[in-house]
Amino acid sequence: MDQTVLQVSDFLALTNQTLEYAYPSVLVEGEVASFKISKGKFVFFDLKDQSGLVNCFMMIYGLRQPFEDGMRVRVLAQPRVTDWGKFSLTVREVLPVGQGSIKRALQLLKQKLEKEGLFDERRKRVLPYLPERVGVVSSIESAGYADFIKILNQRWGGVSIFSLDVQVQGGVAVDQIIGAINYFNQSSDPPEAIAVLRGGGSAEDLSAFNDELLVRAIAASRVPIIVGVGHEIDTTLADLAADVRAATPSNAAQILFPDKNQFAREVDQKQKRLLDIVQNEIKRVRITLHHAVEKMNMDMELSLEKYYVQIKRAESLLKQLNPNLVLQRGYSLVRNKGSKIVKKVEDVSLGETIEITSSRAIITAGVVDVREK
Amino acid sequence: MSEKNKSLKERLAELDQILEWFDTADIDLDEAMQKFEQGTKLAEDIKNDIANLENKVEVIKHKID
Repeated sequence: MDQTVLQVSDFLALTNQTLEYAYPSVLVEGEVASFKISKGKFVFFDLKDQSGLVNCFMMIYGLRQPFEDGMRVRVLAQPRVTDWGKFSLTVREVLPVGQGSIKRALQLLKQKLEKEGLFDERRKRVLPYLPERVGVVSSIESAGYADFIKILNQRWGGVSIFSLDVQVQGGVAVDQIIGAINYFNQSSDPPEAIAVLRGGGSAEDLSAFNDELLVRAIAASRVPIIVGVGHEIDTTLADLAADVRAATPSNAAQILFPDKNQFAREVDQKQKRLLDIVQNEIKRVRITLHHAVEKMNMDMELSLEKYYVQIKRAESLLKQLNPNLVLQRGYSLVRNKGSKIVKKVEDVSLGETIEITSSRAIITAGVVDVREK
Repeated sequence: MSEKNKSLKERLAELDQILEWFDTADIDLDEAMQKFEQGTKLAEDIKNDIANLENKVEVIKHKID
């Protein structure tokens, strides 16, 4: 038989060509072992089962979730032989397989992102009060989206909603949701908040909301994000990274917008408070005025009182000086011929007629004798 | 800024300011009556807005790849 003789490197190149032709890509499933990352760029691990083992290699940016030894995974890869004759799989995609592995991968991712601080309370922003412009990322045909719009219309008005229609499950969901979040963030007039909504579904359907790139996009969004992914069981990583988490799309509308009736009642309260304050103020002024007038009256009475006392004193003084009162005490008033009151010797002469006025009688008399007292 | 163009939020802020004034300032009865009238009008305008404003929903035609 005529056989071509090959040099080693040629043989390896030929083998790789053959492999590429025969197996442009394969899906291989097995258990991870000896997982390690070298120089922060190169990922090496073994894939094994009970009797076989194959080396695997990939670049770190192909790794969408963290893995560890013992987990079952499925790889999309291309087989090749290295320059030093080692057979290995060059992996393009890795997916966890089976509930156990999937849960574990999710746990690892959550721990990793938590350590980076993506879920920190302090990072979370407050949603704007009474937003007027809100971006919505959702499947427009879905019941969740319809619920959100319905509740919004019931509760509030004057809002502009900008909706971007995306898939919320399936292969393209992650890229589309990230694209939508970026679109709003990069807009020249971004909305005040973004609502990422999805109606309830089984746990598997929520996988997009546990994707690392999507969760990072939510955390990195400059516009505050409220996530309303309706489900009962688990909290997705998107929920943890969001600024606010709503239980459902309807709940998201309740959180974003107040109820107009409640709001009107609160405004009524404010009006009533205004009225109460003004009425109280008027009452207060009235009372102050009343007190002032009362005080004025009291002050006046006090001065009048003093006045009365003075008058009484004057009166009693006058009483004492009143000639009639003097006469009543027994004294008499003596007048001479010329009606002049007699006080001294010179005021009368012997034999002169004098008039004596006592308290009750007027006596006409003659002077018999006059002497100096 | 004409009365009509003031947004609901601006009116709310003004109303709250008036209430604050009543809580903290030395109240002059004349000024109080003025502010009372203002506040009442603001409250009525706000309630009117709440009852009548409508929402606009726009579906953006942007292809995401």
